[in-house]
Amino acid sequence: MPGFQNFLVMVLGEPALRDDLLKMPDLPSLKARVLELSRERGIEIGEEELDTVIRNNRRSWLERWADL
Amino acid sequence: MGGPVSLRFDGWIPFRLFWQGGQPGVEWLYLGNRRLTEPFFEAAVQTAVQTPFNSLFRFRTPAQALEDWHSTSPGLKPSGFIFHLSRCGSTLITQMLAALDGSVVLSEPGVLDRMIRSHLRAPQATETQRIDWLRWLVSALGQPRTGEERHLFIKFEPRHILDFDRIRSAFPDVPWVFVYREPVEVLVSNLQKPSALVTRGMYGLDAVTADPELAGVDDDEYAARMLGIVAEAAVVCASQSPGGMLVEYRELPDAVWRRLPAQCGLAFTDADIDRMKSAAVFDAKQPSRRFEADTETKQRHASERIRSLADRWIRPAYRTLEKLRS
Repeated sequence: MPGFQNFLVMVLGEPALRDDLLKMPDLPSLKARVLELSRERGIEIGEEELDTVIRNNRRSWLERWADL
Repeated sequence: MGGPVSLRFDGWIPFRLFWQGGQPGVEWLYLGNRRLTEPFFEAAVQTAVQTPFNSLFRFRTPAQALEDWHSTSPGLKPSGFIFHLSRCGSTLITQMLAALDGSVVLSEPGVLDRMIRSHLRAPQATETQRIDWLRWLVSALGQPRTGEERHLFIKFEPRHILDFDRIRSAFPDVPWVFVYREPVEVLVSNLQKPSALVTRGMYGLDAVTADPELAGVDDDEYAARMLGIVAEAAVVCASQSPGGMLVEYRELPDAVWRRLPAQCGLAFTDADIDRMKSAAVFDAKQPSRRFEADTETKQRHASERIRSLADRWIRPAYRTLEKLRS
């Protein structure tokens, strides 16, 4: 499982971690916080991986009208 | 993301449906304790999806996660379902109910529409399976978020009256309402600003796409026929299914505090009614504007042809609904 997916599972399972990340006011701060907290937890995530996730989420949202 | 069974989804909400191998899955975003007060569910999602957190932390789960979450946290049992003919005051009703802190109001969630029409994407699934999917999804959508909520109301899209049997099978005891309006006014509104229901090719009422005659009619007649199909379906439901209440546009907004409590087992306080009355002052779909009655304007804009189409395709069912209402 890629590093981000591991971290995402932690975010789902740890309300305190989620709430910490929810406080971030913008994407650059959020990404920096994710990189910091994931490092602390021994999960390797690169900024590029985060950018890919964000890009994919945006694309998926724009394509939602194609849902049946 | 498969997701272990122990996962909790407090504060998360499913906002999109996807299909994989004939099985549904959902995509979740985080709402926290934010109440759904926008006129439509999609507007709330549009706002939520753009937060920094949701830009990054969205995830998908298979239907199994919905079932597990349903078992762990069933959510609010629906207090009432609102079906409607379109452009007839149903959003006013939901906005009034959403003004109460004790209400969760789901107004036409797209994710629910996709699940209701699961037969299109999972034709091999049994009806029992579809009904379970529907229950699990409503359970996840209807989770309390602030701790004060006591009632869940769902407003369906106009075409969902045609899926009434499936919805009723999933929620047999939930009281329901069908809201409608004088046919010329509904048709004029739908032609002035076409709804998905009357836009050819956009919505595809399953029950009518097989009608070859429709390809040859103009857009005005197409709209009238679509509205007529919805109104006729409402007549069948109101005639055959117990637990329904018919509301004509003219009865609004008073019907919400006068008739809905008995229908849905609600007990409004004077303060609740005041809050609902305050909400009714504004245009339900554009709450920053004050509501202006438009019955006369709509009647004035109706050409002879529009009147004739409304009379032919919608009025017979409207008359029956009015008889049943009284």
